[in-house]
Amino acid sequence: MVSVQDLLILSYLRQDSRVNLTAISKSTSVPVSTIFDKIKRYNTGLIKRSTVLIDFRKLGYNLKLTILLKVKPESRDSLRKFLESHFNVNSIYRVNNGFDFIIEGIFKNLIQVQDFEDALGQFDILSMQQYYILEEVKEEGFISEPSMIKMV
Amino acid sequence: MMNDREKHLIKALRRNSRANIKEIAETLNCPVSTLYDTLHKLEKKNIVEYTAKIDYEKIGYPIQAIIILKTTTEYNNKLYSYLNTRKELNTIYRINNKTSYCVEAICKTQQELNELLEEIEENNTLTQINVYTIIETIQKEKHLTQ
Repeated sequence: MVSVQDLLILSYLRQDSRVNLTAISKSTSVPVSTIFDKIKRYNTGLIKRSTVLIDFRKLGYNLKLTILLKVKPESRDSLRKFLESHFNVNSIYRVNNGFDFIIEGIFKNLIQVQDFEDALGQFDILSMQQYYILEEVKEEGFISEPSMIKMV
Repeated sequence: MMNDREKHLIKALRRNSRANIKEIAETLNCPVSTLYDTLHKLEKKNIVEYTAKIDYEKIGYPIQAIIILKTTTEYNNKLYSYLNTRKELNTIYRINNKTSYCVEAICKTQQELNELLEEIEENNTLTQINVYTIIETIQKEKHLTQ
């Protein structure tokens, strides 16, 4: 298990992955060298990736959708490969409770959405639900507030 | 629209936000100062947040679920505010007709998830709630990384 100190350092990185290690050190009273070693260790598996969340709408990708998909068992693997390789698919989750996958798709316009739906037609889709994301109220908020760490 | 330099930088940072700007500048064969200017411009216009994706299971939170919640216009503000107070919710999206939400919950145990769901229902007036436990996160935030 990770310690409270680990969670605290992780929360600073969750809040801002480009944060200066000296700044974390000042806030946590943990020496910079220790933080450096810990982050090096986290990067071997605990941290999957440091990334940047962007406003896709400002890049011309105006439509963001959550799509739930249920497919015939024999088509599950081929659908998964298709989703993994598709440019517009941002995130993919394997889920239970009546669906196989929940995906997040990012599209420039309705034509791209339609093209994606048409491409799904080659698989034996049994059920599909689409939800248009109107507002990102919160993104990646879990363990991203250092002052809350004692509460988790 | 973004120019080629901006696209390259966004993709590099999507792959690794702690990447060294000097090294990225070298691959682009452009001055570091120019790339820093580009970065600052993107930070003002396009970048929402730098973050680290972590393996929640490894820090003791193996239960993750996506929950679709629906309420009515009358109770929408209350639900919106309530969801924002729940520390278990990693992501909150307002969807479709503005009175529906798609949230991602991260919990230590199934019991903790059940308690979260009970408390959401007890404290709000919902017309629908569907819970989908995540069996595997196949990919996350892949768009514009390649």
